[in-house]
Amino acid sequence: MLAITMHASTAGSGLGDVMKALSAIRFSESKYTEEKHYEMMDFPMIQQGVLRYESPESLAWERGDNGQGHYEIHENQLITRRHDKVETISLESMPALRAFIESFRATLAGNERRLRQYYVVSFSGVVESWKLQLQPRDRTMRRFIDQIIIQGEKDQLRLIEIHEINGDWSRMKLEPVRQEYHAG
Amino acid sequence: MPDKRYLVFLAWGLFFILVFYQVFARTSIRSDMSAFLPAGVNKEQRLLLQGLHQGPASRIWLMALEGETPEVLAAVSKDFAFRLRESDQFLQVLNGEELLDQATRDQLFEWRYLLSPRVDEAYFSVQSLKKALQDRLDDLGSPLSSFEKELIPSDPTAAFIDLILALGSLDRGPEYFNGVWFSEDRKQALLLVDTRAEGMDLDAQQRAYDTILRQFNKAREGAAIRLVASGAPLFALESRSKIRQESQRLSLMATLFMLLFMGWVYRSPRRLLLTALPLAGGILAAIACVSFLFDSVHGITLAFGITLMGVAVDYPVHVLSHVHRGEGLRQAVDRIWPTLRLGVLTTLMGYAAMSMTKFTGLAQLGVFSMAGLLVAALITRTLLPAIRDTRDQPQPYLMSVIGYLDVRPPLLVRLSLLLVVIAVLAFVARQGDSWSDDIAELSPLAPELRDQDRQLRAQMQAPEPRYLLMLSAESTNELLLDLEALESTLDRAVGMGYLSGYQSAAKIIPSVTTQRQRQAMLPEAEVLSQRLDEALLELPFRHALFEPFLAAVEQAKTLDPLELKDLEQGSLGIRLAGLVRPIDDHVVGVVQLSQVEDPSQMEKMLSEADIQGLMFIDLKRATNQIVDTFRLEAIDRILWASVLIVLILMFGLRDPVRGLRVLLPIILAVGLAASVPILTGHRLNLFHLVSLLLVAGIGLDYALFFSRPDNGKERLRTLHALVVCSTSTLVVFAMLAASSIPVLQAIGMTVTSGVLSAFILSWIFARRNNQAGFL
Repeated sequence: MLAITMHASTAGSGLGDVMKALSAIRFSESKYTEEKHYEMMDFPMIQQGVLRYESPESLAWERGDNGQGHYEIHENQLITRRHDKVETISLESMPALRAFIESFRATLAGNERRLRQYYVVSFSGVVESWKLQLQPRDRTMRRFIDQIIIQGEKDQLRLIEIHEINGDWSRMKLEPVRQEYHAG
Repeated sequence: MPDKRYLVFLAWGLFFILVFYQVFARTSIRSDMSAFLPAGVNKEQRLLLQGLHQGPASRIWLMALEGETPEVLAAVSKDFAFRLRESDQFLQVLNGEELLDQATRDQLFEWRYLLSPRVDEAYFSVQSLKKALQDRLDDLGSPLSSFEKELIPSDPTAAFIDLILALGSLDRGPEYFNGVWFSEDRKQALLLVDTRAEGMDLDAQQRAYDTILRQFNKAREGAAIRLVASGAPLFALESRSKIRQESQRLSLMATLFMLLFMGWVYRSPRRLLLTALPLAGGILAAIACVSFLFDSVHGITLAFGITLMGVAVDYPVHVLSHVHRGEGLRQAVDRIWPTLRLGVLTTLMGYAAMSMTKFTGLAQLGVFSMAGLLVAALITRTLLPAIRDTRDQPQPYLMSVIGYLDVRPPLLVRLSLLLVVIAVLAFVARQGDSWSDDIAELSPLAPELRDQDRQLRAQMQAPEPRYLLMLSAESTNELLLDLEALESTLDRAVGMGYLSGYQSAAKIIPSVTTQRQRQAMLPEAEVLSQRLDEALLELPFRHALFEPFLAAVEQAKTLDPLELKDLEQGSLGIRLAGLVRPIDDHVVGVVQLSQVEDPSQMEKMLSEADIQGLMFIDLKRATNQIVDTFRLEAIDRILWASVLIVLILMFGLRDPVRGLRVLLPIILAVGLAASVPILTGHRLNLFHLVSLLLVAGIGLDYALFFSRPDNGKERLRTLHALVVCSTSTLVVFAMLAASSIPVLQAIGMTVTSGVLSAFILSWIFARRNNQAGFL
């Protein structure tokens, strides 16, 4: 019991430092390689793409080398381009999706308060090599997602794992390409 | 002689036993506006009016929560909606959460292959299936795949998602924040509630409103949040309570004034009671008569009818003023009856004209006033004389000052006054069309309430539609077939930019015929299975993943088509009820058109579509036409009544010059009364028309009495009666004119100015002792 308490208290300060470092970033771009282990498929799906973040509310995925899909988030709008169709969805109308998006966005923004609003957050490691375990609070999201694990080094995200309730899981490895900081 | 008196008492006693029975045991008072407003003269109008006053639009409450941060408002909106859903008073509580309830989602899912407009012969071809499967593979690669892949095994063609998206795009809906509806500025969380009770059932609506307020208070947990409510039921409740309060206040004030005034004038409690007797008896008889003929009495009829019947006080006043010292009431009644009778008859003609219109409310008012006045006059004629009056009553007050009035202004003054009146009338007549056909002007509601409603509707993205299509059919299926046939025309019109979109029941649920056709296109199990295998070649999906899909298509082949009534209980019910309505033995469909840019092109295009019984309706124009129809009808009836009145006067007086002496001032007075609203910047509506009838009725009484060929003391008595009558009428209607309810104000203003003009003009035109000459 004592050990857990101590762990938690050191974790709090480590998380604070990581969040502070992340919040200094204004723009970042990472190449990613993702493997999805889904029961529906005979073998894992492997794909590559680019993830861009712009402080504080914009996020974009660009999948594949020939643009198989494009997903953009600006504030509370989700814009998807796939199957030759563009759709705009209000994240506010789908709380589960909003919560899911915040696992990436609030982390990238270094917004601990918002992250805790949507997830039960456990932190481990040190600033040089850290790990976040996120357990969703939203009831609808919990029907699908068991937990999300994000690993990083200082102000860079390196790995995102999504573990689903039905056993499906995916792992996204990130390779930072460009990073810009807020002035001052 | 005493025997005859007791016979009179007995007859009236029996009559009032019947009246009391009808009034207290069999009369219900209604307060819904639909019972007061016209029923419509033709089928189109009936459809429209029923649509306006019944149906879901009349049951829907719009609400907004405001006064806190968006986060708090969103949380309270969820709790508030949850609490309202727990109550059994509401069919639906919408606040943006779960726009489709689970039962409806299940229905759409199960029937997806019959409902989806994309299902045709090619939908299950190898090629389409392969394309669909590739799209699903694409979806699996999406960052959102965790949420999207659940349905892939049972719905690889995404038929269900397409249905949901199509339903969602039918109406734009409000903005969202934290999963609930918000205004654009995020200052108001928005809700929409449909009550189980009909919109016309005001008592049930009041209970629903109480629940809303109670649950809101619980949900806000002491936070400083305000609830803004609007919508047709609230309007109805507000109108009712406002009319109730106002008419109670006014009748109390009027009664108090009359008691004091009459008490002061006649200086005897007994005589005071006598002045009230014909009015009281008349009102009771009027209520009994209306409830007997119309099954119920409308609250507005009661309130306005009693106002219109106030003239009945004049009858005993005339009698009491004409009593000579030392004689009973009988002699006085005998003396004035010929004059009074003509006054009553002519007034009855006016109300008869009113009672013959198809405007339910006006007809009730007409019958009410007719029955009431008739009974009041009969009481004055028969019951009053039978009551023993104390002899040697003191001279009524005012009698001594009346003498000063018994002078005639010089010819020059009379002539110039006449010219002024004619000039005013000519000026007003030149103003052109001064009729208002806007039905909203008849409403007792404050304009701020309507503005608030307009704002809320705009935030809900549910602006009040102005243009719509209507068509009727023998059955729901035929209606849906017609609506489906209409779609290509409407889609073309949208493409041309004539309108931005439309809502039709066929977009939500296709006809049974169409569903059967789709069913016939569904492939056999083995065929589909083979095609699927072929489509799956080179794709990474696990074998046997799509068993649920194969089973679903197989099951769809045996389903009974989904029908409109199956969806009624769910979240689509509210929308369907606004689009399809059974009326008489027909089913009527409404297509709501949004943002019609070019009505004339639309109309042309639709007439080319050649669908039987299709009506393109401009709601504003149509409702105005309805009011217009009734106004023209009322004027027509009044003109006939005027002809009858003239004939009755000429026949009754047997003296054309005296007839003109009576008529001319009243025609001028009615003209002046009609001019007052116009000169003060109003437009005339139906209630002004009713008031003008009253002015004519009261004015004719005055003119008839003024023109009586009396001499000396008798003239003074007549003059006394007229001063008392007109003073009381003026004060009572001046009270009405000060009311905040537009309708009461209109009546008050018109009658006050009319009665004043009638009195002055009749006085000027009246002949004095042995004076000759018309002017």
